[in-house]
Amino acid sequence: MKISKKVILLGHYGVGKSSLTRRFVHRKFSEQYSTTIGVTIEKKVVQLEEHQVSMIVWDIAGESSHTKVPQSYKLGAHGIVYVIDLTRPETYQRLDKEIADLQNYLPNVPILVVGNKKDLFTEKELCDLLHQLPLSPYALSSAKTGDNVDAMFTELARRMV
Amino acid sequence: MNNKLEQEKLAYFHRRSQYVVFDNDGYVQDSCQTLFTISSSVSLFDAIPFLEAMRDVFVQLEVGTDVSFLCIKTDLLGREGYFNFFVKRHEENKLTWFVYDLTEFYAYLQPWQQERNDQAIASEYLRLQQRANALEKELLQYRNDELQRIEQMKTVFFSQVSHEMRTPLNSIMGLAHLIEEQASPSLKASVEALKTTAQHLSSIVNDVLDWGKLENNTVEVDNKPFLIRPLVQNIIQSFQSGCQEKGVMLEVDMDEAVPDCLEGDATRISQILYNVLGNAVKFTHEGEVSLSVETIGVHKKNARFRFTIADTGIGMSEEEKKRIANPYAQANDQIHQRYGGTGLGLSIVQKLVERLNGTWTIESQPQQGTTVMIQLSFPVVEASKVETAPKPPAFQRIRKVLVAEDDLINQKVLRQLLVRWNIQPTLVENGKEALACLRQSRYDLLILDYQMPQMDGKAVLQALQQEKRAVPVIVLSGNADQVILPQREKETTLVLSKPILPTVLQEKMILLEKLIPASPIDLQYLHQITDSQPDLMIELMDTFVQQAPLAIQHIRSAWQQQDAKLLHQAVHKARPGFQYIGATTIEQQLDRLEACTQQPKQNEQFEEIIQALEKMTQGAINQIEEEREYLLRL
Repeated sequence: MKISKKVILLGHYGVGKSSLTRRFVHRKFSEQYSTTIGVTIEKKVVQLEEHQVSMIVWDIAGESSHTKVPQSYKLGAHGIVYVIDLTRPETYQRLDKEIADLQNYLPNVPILVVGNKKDLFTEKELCDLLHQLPLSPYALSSAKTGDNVDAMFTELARRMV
Repeated sequence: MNNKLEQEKLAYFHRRSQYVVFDNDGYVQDSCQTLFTISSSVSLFDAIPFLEAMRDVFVQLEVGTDVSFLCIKTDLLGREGYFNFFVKRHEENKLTWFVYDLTEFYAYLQPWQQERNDQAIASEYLRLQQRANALEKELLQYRNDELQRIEQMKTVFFSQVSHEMRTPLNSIMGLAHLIEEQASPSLKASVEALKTTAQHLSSIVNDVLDWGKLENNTVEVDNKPFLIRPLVQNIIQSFQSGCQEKGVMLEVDMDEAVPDCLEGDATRISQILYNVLGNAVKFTHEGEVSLSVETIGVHKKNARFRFTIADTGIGMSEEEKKRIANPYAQANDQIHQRYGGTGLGLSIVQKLVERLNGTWTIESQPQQGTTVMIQLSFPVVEASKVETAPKPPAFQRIRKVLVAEDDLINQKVLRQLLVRWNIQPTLVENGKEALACLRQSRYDLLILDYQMPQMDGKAVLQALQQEKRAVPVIVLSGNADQVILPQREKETTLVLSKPILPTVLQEKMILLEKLIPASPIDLQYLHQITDSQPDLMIELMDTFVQQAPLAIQHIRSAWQQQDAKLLHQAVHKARPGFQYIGATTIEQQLDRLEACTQQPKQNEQFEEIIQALEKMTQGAINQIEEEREYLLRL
């Protein structure tokens, strides 16, 4: 059974939302940072056991708070990926409050928090870093290596159906 | 606006926009097909991701309402770009979708936004870097503070342990001195070894304590005129026999231009030279050790000297040289195992040289030897200014000493020393007993341990001050720096660090003796003629106590009879008794009395002299009785 789901990617600018989308949809990565204007819409079909989920990914330009994102971008979203940059504390300092706001704004919409750029840390550093985060992310990912990217989107697909 | 302009405007928007009408299932009812071509047979919800994503929303959109989406980058059936979308429901089954292509505009904006974000991210990283730098600095400071704290704790710990060691060490050294004098020839060598061992332990304790003081900057420099040549010779002399035993040549070369007398802290200079020369001798097993002193510059009355201590010993590598600069460190582990030592010697030298505003360098080659060069400056002074060490005379005025000391071995050592110096010691174990004794009887000196049970030295000093008892005091302490003296008693109270050396105790007692008023008697002669035999001394004292009042009575009687001849005989007969007990002031009174007998009509003066004589005789008798009691207790 084929289902279409709108997924929005939120988080500060430069955290790697576009890179994650690019890795997920096109299996590519570029070191070059390119700012997103407005929103870029991409589509990828994820095959689950019983469903074929057409994920329409809305890669939204980065903002320090989702309240600065136009409401129409969030309208009808079935799932949210909130991306933080593990190398920049400013991208996760208010994470708990931001997620609480989002849950309030879009009730019953699954949100996955992803700590991106894990490839820049050792395992020990990641362990130490996890203790400093205001809340535990669903996954630590790397758009560069592809680590946990598909797994995270697939998990979101499962939660949306 | 005229028609032509209106046409141009419409043409401009027409090229960039498309209007699509579709039903609730996404099938196109109408489209201008300007930007992309849509087939009416395909649902837009299947063909265009944007609409696919918004299907649920648009299907439920109420009639007359619209939603706008600005700056959407997507693919519209092969046309990729940035678009603004407006979606409105006109009827139950009719939605309009207005697409406006703003690719040119948004593509132009993108670099501006990119620059803004790049700068913001760079600022974030800069702030992070600054914070990391500040934290690193804080951590370094913390580590530094921690290291210093540990270092200080180590120094304090070693100093405290060393202070604790001083008291028993004092006892060992004191007892060794006493045993040495009475030891049989067969025991002499063992006693000598005991003394050397105790001396070695004492030097280790002193090193640790000195290091503590140097670390805390509490080392005081006592600059006085001193003779450099005897100082160097004495140091060389002390290493002579050790070098001879090892078959190592020990040479000294004193530049003739070195002045005889300089002004500086001779103790500290000796300490520096002893340490460096001691190391040189310790680590040299063949060849020679030399000490040379030369003048390298004179400016006005200040001269700069270079002391060079060179050896042909085991030497050190560059790495080992670096290690020995650290306190408690030795060149390598084998050195400690083979030679022992605290590893403080060179650190102390380094600090002392710095304290004396000098410099030092060390050159060394493994298996070649080591050369240490020390440069120090001193004012040159006249040799006459040098104080020669006085020979401790026998005590004239200190006859009775109260010793307040809880340590039994120290008590024994002090008792024997005092007895050897013909002084009566009274021993008590705490401050309370000491005060009780002082209230009951007169003492010439109080030797007071600073740390005692029940009532310590500090409390005794305070009590003495309150009771206005002007007894001179020698305070004994393992840590002389911690002794606090009452301000007004500083001249009559001296502090002596443990372990006590007999010569140092004697020197302090000589200083205090000058402050004690002359005693009416001096039993030195009595000691001589009786060979200090208590029984004989007591017998003679008893005779004096019985005879002296009678002798004075005879004098008074002769004077009352106005019999000059009888008076002369009475004075003459009284004199030897007073001579035995060394009552020189009474003798002087007798001289005055005799002179009076030669001059008639001196009645008033005569009465005055005889009254003084009676009073002084009674004083002498009182003191003799005290001495007698002491002898009886022996």
